[in-house]
Amino acid sequence: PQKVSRVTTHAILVNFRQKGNPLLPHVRNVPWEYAEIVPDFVMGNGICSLFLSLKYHHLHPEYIYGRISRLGKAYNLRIMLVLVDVDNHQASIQELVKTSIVNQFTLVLAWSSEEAARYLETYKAYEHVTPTSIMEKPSMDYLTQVQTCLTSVRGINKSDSLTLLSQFGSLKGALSASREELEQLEGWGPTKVNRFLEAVQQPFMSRSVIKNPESISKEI
Amino acid sequence: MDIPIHLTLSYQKKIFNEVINEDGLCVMAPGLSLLQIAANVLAYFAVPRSLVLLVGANSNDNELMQRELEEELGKTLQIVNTETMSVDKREKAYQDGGIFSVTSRILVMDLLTHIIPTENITGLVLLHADRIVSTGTEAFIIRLYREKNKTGFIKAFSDDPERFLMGINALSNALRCMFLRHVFIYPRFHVDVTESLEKTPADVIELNVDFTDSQKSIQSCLLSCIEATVRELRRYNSAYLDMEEWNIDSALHRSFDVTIRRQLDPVWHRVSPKSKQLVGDLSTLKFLLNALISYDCVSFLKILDTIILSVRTGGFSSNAQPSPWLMLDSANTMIRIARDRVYRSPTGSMDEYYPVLEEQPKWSVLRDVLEEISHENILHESNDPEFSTNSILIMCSEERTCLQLRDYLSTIHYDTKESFKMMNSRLMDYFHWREQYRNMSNSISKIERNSKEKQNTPETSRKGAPASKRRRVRGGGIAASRSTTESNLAQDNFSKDIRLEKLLLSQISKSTYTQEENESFEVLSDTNSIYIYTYNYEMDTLLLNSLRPRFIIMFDSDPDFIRRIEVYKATYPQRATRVYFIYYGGSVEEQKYLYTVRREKDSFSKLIRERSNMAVVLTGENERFEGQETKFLRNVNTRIAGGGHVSVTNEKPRIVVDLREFRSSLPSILHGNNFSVIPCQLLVGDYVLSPNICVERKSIRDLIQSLSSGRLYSQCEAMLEHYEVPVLLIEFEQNQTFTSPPFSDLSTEIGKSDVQSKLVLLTIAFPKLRILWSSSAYATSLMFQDLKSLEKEPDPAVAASIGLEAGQDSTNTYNQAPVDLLMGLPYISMKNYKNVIYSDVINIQDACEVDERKWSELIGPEAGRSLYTFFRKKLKDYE
Repeated sequence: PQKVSRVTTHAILVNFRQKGNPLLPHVRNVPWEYAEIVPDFVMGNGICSLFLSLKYHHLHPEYIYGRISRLGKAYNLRIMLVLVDVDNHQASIQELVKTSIVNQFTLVLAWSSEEAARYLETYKAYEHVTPTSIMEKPSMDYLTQVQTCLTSVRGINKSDSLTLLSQFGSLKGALSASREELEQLEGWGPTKVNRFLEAVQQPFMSRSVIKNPESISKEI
Repeated sequence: MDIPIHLTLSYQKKIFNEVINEDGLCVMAPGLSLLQIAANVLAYFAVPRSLVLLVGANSNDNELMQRELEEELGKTLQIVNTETMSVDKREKAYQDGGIFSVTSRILVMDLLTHIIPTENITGLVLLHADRIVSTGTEAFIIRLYREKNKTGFIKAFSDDPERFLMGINALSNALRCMFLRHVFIYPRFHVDVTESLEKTPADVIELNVDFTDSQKSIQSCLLSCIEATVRELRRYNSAYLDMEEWNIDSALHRSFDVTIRRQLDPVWHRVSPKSKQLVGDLSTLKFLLNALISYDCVSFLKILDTIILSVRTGGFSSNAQPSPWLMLDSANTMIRIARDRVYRSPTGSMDEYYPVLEEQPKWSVLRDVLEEISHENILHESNDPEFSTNSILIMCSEERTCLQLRDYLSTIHYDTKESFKMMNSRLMDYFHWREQYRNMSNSISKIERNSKEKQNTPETSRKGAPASKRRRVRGGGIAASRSTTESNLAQDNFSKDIRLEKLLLSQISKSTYTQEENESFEVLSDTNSIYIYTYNYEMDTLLLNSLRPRFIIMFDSDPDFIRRIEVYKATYPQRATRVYFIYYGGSVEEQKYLYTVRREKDSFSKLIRERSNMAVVLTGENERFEGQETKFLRNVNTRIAGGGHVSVTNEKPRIVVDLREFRSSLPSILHGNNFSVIPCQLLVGDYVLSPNICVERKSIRDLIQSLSSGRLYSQCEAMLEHYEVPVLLIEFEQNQTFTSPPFSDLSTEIGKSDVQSKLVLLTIAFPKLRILWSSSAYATSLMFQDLKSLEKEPDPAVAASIGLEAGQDSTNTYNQAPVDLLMGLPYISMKNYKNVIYSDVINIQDACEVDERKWSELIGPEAGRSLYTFFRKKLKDYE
């Protein structure tokens, strides 16, 4: 682990308390340094994290609440990074879920120190990245686009989508294929044909299927 | 009161009486006219003013039940699904009573929103009871029904004994889900069944057909590929796979790939992409084994071409490797033999090829059988409706085999006994198709090249690629290996391909010409007498009854159908019937048949044993729905919470649930945990816990998928706009291990496409988003309880109206499959898809026809134009 003496904004700030935390050696892709901070880690402007190992939590259940109250309302994005290192985790996770929601924390679970370290690294590295990669469909070439669209029908795989496209020549041709045409395709059994036809022929919307929510509200 | 019964055989009457007298689960061997008995049960209880429900029926069941009830029993069956009846109509129809077959998803909704008067239901008949699981929709239905109605009957039917033996106590668990105590078991070897069926056996002739040599070689190649794949899989996953007793025989069994998949299921999200690919390969190889039996040689080559191409494209990721089985020598041998069955070069020279077009061996056997029948038909002519007609029924397992036989029978010639005409036209089709195939293959090579260049290692990948790497290209083409680069080789292949095509096409047209004047096969002059159908479960009984065929040719094997013939023969002993049973000896087909028969017998024996060992299941009175204990606990809970706005009350806490969520088990579990579950069509979120808290549920698979499609981002955006506390619920399956998918490689840099990286981006984009990690739906329901304790109850009307624009009706619902496909289209986003589904565009096929101007109006000028072109883009213009 490299220590940078000068305070930089490029580094993850680490609370002195975390000295000896086994995740620190795994923080390799971004620099980190110790600093006087209230949370355990500060990964960026307004991004901080408290760290909790479930093993520790089972021994000292009150610890995390003290840390939470000391942090108060500071920081915009507050991560509660929890290391799941015990087998009977359900009750504690249930408790932490509730705590994190009540105290405006975003709960993140990691199953190993490496994984926890990777989360910290990623927060630092992506601090200023615009989230385009999760905002829209990735741009693709024609063939991949066709495959993506056809494989969104349940039970249709990539080789089925190639069969469709090569047989009918265009997406329009494939989507307008009749039952008889589909049944003749190599690898297409009745279940697949039915699923595909359901997807292309069923209307987008069915009219008045369920009871009006207003009348339900009145009943209550 | 006189109730008509339409059952002929004594065992049928016995089952009927048993089921009428006592609630229970009836497990029968397939083919013993289950639906007919169930229809009689429905009719028996359908007295005026009664309300009888049929649950779990599919569209075939419905059709057959409807016919049986209307024609033989004088009752009507009303079918309820989203298309047939709107909510008002349903409410009225239920009040009037009668027999209803209701889609499970609608029935749940109707029970929860009190559209159906639960107290007045006379009883339920459940079909396919083997599919019941404690967290499933059907179990939920029965629970909702029993909660308010303790007296109505429940009769369950199943013809799949195996499913009651999967897992520990599967039978008693299933019974508990259905609130039943009794099991009636009727295997084929039951004494009453045997007595009824063996009085008048049908005349069966078995015809054992041999594979051709090339088919035998392909089969053994496929088996060694399977073996190698399994070995590989075992190497990577020895910890999870229990394959002690695996041998090559297992490959012939019906579901070995499913078994392997099931063993890996708990760790599926942690299984390496490589192993996932291997599991996929197993299914592909098993499919090829079956295709070898039913596909003609040209179609087999074609599917092989397609599979090789799709395997080459790998995943969408750039570092995907081709499947290991393709690298095996057996794979190459197989590809070569498959091609040699279609066309071959006599001397090994490149310029001389002739079509071989090997026939399927069963074809000539079929022709001989038909010839034999044609002689007998002349001897016996009868028109008595009591007796069989002279028609011939040919049964196949797939529609494509039917088409194949229709083609074959209408083109074969009496003297040459060859199928040239049909096969020639298939070969021509094949070469026309190759044209498209080449385009695809080229563009895939281009993508491969591009992605390699992106990786900045074009040189190493070319030099580093061993001879085996070239092999996969050879699979698609026909050339011998050469020391050129991959893409050049492909180009080379295709130029040869085109030359070959011309050569063969000229030969084909010659041979077709010479045979034009021959006579056609004479049995077929009266084409009406031959019927070719596929096996279709219960519908086959109907087919036999309406055709009354004297000759039945089973072109593919099917144990259930033999049972149906037995029942048919016993019901109408005076109708003469002869059955020809054609199968490939020593092939997967024979093995599969024998295995299925043996397996069924074993299952029934086990089931009978299981029934006798079963602990008594206590249901009914001592079932706690609203136990005193839970009621007390909840009251205490609200007090602890301060009870500021929720005073101590007996009313259940409410959760508004989106309709689509009823596919998952969570709503059923929530209801079991004493929540009042209110189904609504929600545009924002999946679960609304309070006016403030809204939850979007994602399984691991959904999470990965919706993070990369941009869907989750938009969903979070929408939640944030309307709710104080937007929550993302990441839910693991009950049997999945509770660990996240691994980072691709923790030792290197931060990966852009990792789920965790995307999750980080999401939380940075939405600091107010809360994440709820849950190891199972049960855990989720406990967490919901926690979260709700401080909050006000949600209002369904408000929840449903969020995101709705003027003129849009909240009682309308989306249909999942077409909307998913629409969302899969490029240029359609979370923002604009609603414009499409609320417009007058009805479905996807309609959307294909929409003109450019209209698309511009719906999704904007630029996207509109692009989408319009995308639909029409021709593969052959693409370069």
